[in-house]
This record gives sequence, C-alpha cells and structure tokens, in this order.
Amino acid sequence: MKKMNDKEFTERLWANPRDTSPDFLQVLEQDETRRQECQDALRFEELLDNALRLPAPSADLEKRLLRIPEATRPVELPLRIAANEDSFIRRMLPVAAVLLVALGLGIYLQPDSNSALAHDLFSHVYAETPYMNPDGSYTLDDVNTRMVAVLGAHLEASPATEALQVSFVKDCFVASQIAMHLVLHGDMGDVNVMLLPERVSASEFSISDEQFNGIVAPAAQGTLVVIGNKQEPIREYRNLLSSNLGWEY
Amino acid sequence: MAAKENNDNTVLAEATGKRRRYEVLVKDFYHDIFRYAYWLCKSRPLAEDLTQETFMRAWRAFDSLQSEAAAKAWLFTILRRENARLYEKFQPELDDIDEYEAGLPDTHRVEPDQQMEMHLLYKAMQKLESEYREPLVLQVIGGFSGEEIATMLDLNNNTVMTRLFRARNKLRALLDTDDYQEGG
Repeated sequence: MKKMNDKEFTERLWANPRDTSPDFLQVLEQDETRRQECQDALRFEELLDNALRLPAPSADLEKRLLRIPEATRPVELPLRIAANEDSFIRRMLPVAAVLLVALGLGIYLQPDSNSALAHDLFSHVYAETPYMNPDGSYTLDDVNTRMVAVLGAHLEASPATEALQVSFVKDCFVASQIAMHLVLHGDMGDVNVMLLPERVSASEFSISDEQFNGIVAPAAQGTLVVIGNKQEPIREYRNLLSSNLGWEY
Repeated sequence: MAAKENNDNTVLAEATGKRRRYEVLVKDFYHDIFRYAYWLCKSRPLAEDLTQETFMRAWRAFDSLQSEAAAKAWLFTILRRENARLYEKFQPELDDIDEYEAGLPDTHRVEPDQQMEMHLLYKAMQKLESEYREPLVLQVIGGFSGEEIATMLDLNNNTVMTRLFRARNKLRALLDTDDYQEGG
C-alpha cells in the first residue's frame, strides 16, 4: 500500500477525523505519533459535535411534528374556493381544476395552487392553536415593533386598530414565507390574521373548512389572510387591516 | 360487499402503516433536522418553523420516498430547499439572542471544564463563513460522506474535503483567538 506523507495524513485527518478507510486505519495502526494526533482530533470532534447540539429545540417540537398528519388531514371536499363578488365568473368556473384567464378583467385563477395554499394556512392555524395564549395582550406598538422588524410592514394607528385585542404575535414560516401571525379576540372566537410579504394571488379568494372561513387578499405587495369561525364577520377585519397596512419597503 | 370491506380494510391498513412510518421518521431525524436548520438560519424559532415546514412537506410527499435508507438525505434536501426559498428575496431582522443561554442539552454528558470550550466553539461556528460551515454541519450532524455532501451542495468531492479541512482549521484558529481574548 502506498505510504501516506505527513501533509496527506494531516489533511485527511482534519477533513474527517472519523475516517475508517482501510489505508487510513493502517497508517494509524503503524504509527504511534499519528495515533496520538488522531486522538486529539477526535477530542476536538466530540467538542464540535456537542457545540452543534446548541441550542436545544423546544420540548414540544417533536409532539408538534407528530401531529402534522392530523393537522393536515384533508379538508372538506370539494374545498370551497370562490371568486368573490362576481357572479359572472362564478357561473363560468368549471368544477374541474383548470386554468382560467378572463380577458379584459385580467383575472388569473390557479385553483390547484390556491388549494395548496389553503391547506398550508389551515394547517398552520391548527398546528399553532395549542400554543397560543388566550390571556396574552399586545398593544398596537408591540405588534408594530415586531412587524416592522420582521416584515417591513406596520399598522397605522387609529381608534379602530388600537381597539384590536391582540393575544398572539409571532413571526412564523408559512406558505414558504416568513409571515406575521396575529390572533385577535373576535366576536365569535379567535381571528387568525397572517401577513405574508409576497403576493400569492392576483385576486382575493375565499377558503373554508369544517370549522373556519377565511379570506386571502392581496394587500399592497403582500398578502393578507383572515381566518375566523363560521359566523365571524371576517370581511370587516379584512377591510380594517388592509386599509391601515403600510409597507416600509 | 365482502370485496368492498376487504378494500376498506386494505386502505385503512395502508394509512396506518404510512402514519407509523412517518412517526418513526420524526423520532429518528427531527433533532438532526432541527440542528441543521439552526445552523442554516441561526435562529432557534425560525429553525423550528423550518423543521415543521420540512416535515409537513415530507408528509405530503411521503409516497415519493423510495426507501427508508434514503430518508435522512431526503429530509435534509427538503430543508435546504425551504431555507433557500426563505431567503430568496427578504432577510428578516431576527432577535439577537445569545441562544447558547437557552441551555445545554444533556449537560450531564459534558465535563465542566469542557463547557467553556464548547461555548467558545459555538461562538466560533457562528463566525465561520457559510461555505465552510455548511459542509461541516452536513458531515458532523448529518453524518454524510464527502461524496454525499458533494452531491447535495453541487460541488466535487475534492472541494468538499478541502473545505472540511479548512473549516476545522479555521475553528481551531478562532478558538485559540477567543481563548486568548477571554483570558483562557
């Protein structure tokens, strides 16, 4: 077997202290000094492995992951995705998922991607619900401090926005974006609001499952999502938030 | 009627089997996925979200997993794609918390005199350039070989091994500097 010079040995050792190639092991077997170097490298490796265990995940992370099949169970089929306020489009939309382009109106609907988005949004709400604090209380300033930092957006101060009762504020990863997730005390229970930095649809559409109704609406360059219980007047929240939303950039 | 009942039982058995396989996947790999996510994004809350998103996508695409032996690499690939999507256009300002203070896991395994070195090494990893940090994390956390890392990062094997060698040397150099500065 070809002899290994010092340079090659050092490079291989520090590229992979746990190298178990036969030629490497043979070199260790034959040379006490190199065995000692290998021990030093393995001690460093153990430190490195422990350092890379920092920080520990939350104690409930595993539980949340195990709940994913439950939280992403198929929603009521067919998933109701409706173009709003336009009965002409509603009459023309076929049941099967097809691409529809309305000339002149410039409306572009992708039912398949909207279904996937609806799944993501509802899944996120269900997954987060056990970890929300119904007694939490955040002021508009609290909300904006976080929103500006994370999203580059804020809510304009007004009597209506300052009256919002916010119990949960968190930056979350949903629909492949960093989003702000707020929970408001609504008339019929919690109202989940998600603000995404990117447009996911050219036009507003409604979503629903067994428990909730929701609206996904363009909001400047981003997207506003409002989800509430069936009787909740979610359009009022959509109107309030979209008319008071400002984007820094 | 009997045929329908048999079919229903088969469907139920398949769904149960799939769920159990998914649970094994979570138990076996969630911790390593989280660790890798953390060293990609360097934020604990974001790493948890990335981990959740990874497993959500994995569950949805579970039928495409060809063998359990490929599961770890598959999960790491999903995570890397989610992380890339995350930073495509916007880099959020995240809490600057010393997450080392979140606590050492399994502290009974670490000798007290090693804890300072671990702290310094943790800090050194934070400063390491991503071209060195990423292959190192894939090797140490993921346990991937040089060839596997080369495939995942679209590099050749020699480049990967060189970066791994340089990564460890840089960490040792940073460790010596920090050690000196902290009077250690």
